[in-house]
Amino acid sequence: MVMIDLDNLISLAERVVKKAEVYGAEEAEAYISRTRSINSSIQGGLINLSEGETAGLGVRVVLGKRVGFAAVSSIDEQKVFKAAHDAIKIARIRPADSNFLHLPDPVKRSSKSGYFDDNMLGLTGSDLMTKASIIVKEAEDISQQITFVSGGIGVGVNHFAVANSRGINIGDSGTGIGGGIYCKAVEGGEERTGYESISSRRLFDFSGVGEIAAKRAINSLGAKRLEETKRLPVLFDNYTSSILLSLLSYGLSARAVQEKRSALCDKLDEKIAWKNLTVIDDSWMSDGLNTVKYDAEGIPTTVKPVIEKGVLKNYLHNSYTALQEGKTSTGNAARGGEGYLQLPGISPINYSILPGNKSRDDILSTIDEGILVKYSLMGVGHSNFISGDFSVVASNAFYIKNKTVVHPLSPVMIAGNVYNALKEIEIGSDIRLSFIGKTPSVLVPNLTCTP
Amino acid sequence: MTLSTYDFMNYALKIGERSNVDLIEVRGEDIAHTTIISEKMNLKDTRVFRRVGIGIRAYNTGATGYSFTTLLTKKSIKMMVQNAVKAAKVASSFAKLKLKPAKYDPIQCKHSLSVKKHPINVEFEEKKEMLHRGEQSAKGDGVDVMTTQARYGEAYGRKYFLNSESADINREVLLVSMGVTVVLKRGDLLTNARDWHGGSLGLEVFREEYAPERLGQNAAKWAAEKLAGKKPPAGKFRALIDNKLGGVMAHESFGHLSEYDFIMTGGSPLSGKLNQKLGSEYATIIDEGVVNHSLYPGFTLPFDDEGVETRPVTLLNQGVLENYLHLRGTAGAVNAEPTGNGRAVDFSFEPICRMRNTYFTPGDLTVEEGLELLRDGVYVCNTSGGQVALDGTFLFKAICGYWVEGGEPKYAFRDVAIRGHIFDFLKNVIGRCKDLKVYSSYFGGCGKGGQSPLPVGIGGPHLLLKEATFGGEQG
Repeated sequence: MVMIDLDNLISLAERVVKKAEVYGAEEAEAYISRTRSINSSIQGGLINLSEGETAGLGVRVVLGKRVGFAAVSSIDEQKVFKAAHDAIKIARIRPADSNFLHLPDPVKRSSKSGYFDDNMLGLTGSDLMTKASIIVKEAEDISQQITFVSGGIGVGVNHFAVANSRGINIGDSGTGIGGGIYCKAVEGGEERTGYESISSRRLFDFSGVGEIAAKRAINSLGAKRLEETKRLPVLFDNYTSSILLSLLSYGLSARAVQEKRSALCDKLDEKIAWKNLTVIDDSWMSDGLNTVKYDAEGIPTTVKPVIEKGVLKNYLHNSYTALQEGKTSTGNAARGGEGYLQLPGISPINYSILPGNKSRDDILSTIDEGILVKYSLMGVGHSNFISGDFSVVASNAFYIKNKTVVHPLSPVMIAGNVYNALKEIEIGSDIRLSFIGKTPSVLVPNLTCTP
Repeated sequence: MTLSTYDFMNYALKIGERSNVDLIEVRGEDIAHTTIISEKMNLKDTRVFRRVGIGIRAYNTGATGYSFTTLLTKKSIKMMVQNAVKAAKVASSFAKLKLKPAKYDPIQCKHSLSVKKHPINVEFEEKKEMLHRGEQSAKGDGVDVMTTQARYGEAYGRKYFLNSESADINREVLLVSMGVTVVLKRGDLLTNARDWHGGSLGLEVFREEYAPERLGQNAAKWAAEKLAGKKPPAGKFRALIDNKLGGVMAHESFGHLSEYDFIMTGGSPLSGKLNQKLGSEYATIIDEGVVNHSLYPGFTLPFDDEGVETRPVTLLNQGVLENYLHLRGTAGAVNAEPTGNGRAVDFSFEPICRMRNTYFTPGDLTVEEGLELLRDGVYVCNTSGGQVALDGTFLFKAICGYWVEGGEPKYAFRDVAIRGHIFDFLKNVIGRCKDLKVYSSYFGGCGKGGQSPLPVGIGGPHLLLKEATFGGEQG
């Protein structure tokens, strides 16, 4: 893969802004992203290997209180200028948003980029395929019980630039690699799945990932049904805890708070969680998967407590919500997946949950009857984000009796409310890097568990 | 002189042909997307984007390598070709299951659809107006109405395909759809319903039965019926299911199991079941690229993303499993006819085995006769979602359902969920109506292998079932 020149992207964004002004925009903003990626996958003996580049631009224009947006998957001048023109056409027919004030002004404060691994640039499809085939083989070789293995490794180098008519003109770059294995183990008609994946900003050796996934599938064999629906303490390992805690992002968004859609409305400086829970939105974490120097509107990112010793300290802002309150954005504007196709929303960058004192085993040894949830958690996307009610399925759950894990469980449905859970949550000492930041194991004392 | 997407594709093909591989395919696309969402009569979200790019695939001794770019310069095209060729060579050294492109006659063709009101010729204002009309009628007198939402989505443009066997296809892509959703609230009780229509159609389709007003009225009527509805049924009953629910069943619960990649890797319960009788004589399921129906064409796809003509495939013929769905490479590997099921959601993905328009075939009953034959049972319509597992089990929530006695609908249910195993479902089909309808939505579509949402058509006639299991959610 080749390194590209960020300055070229920034200067193209500036030219689009100028052009939009010529076309009649009172204000304009251009966001450009460019990503090179290689993906390898092995699925039961079928191979896919793909390498490519996408680049695109999204342009936001302002006419009075009307905002228009258009995007194109290209950085060809003709096409991006056309997008600027389209955005103005859209703005003309949009209803006026009386709350909209203006695009963000440049903010001067220091911030940090995440780790950029130059070694990633030299990776080839052949390197990835070799690594992927090693971890697939690891899984296949563990036991005859493993009947199906799929897996793969992907790597990406991305760059983005933002410019607006108020003088913002910045950009940042990042690297990422991720790999995982999914497999099935079968024994006497029982079929269980095992999964393991790892992501990193730095070049990473995935050896062992296949073995872990296979062992997880095998360890889940011999499962029994939970006898009946009951309320039990549930211990989430440091991977599944990150999936559960990702539910908080909705309520922390200042947009949800201002529009009264957040369960955390009017709770600033109030105690919302157990006193040992401290959550920091750490945008500068060097190895954080989402670490970035500027947010999706070009505002320098920040490090700030969200929950400090159980007390709610900050909501997360982009420029729209910050201006409503006469504040400066916290640098949490985000555009999601294929960034240039989206208007900036609000998202935490990396949550960092401060570790507790007890190891997972220490916590486990306090449980008379309960459930240990490991490796995977499904259905969190179907939660009620406003109320925080969730109902999720744990495919790899284990029954705890008398402070010990006694046997695996067939899939268990676990229901509760994330905001209630915070009030009683216990924090483990084992931190793991995940897609939302750094999370430890957590114990929630009272959740409805259904076989 | 500026070069077009097509010129760059030819350039890629020319360089690719110089490399020492078995086959080179080049795909290009230029597609414009618009979505408009209106909520409580306010324009909430408007998105306009255009996707332009090129992808190239190289076959080398039983495996493929893929590369793509949105950067249309000679330099990046050259790099793309090199990457695909390199990737194919690497992949072939790792592949345990070998692919072989099936023999076919390369097609040279320019294909266009003819519709009366192509979305490109309709002003944004008129589309917005359609949504407002839909919402206005959904709101009715406003009693119990918590919120209304109307959404419109369109995609149009062209996809191009070239390969080193002299195929040269330029085809039109068109999809429009519109839906209206109503949420009602009385006390603590919330109900919602949605009606929608869509396909490779012009905007002239949104009139009469599918006028925005009608979509809004239907959604409002169903939501109101649910508000006054009785508790959902539980247990086994005779049933009549409508076109949309039957279509989702054919696609989600049966069709995916017939995709040859699942068969090849041993993951599907249809593996090894060719020519076995799995359903009743009334259970015939077809997957085809072009549905000849002026009002219900689904998604029109004359050629797939591997340049193969999309021939109609009878998956299930009067209950007997007759065919699987193939990629060109899997068809060749097992000496089957290519079916034209190699599809990619956009140029940044390699084609994988996907359905086109999947539906149960019609019979000769009218819907009234269907209700009469149902006598006592559940009439269940449309779906708001559900889940299926690759072992064939399914659970779908219906948008509305009625208790029928002596062939007459008596009252509505608040929520209806139908569940079971697809093989049992197929055995229980004892009649079918003649009202074939195939739909395709801009929102939704099919998700597989990270490629979502791929436009597909789903549908069929009303189907009569000897027995179906109804029940609340699992657990």
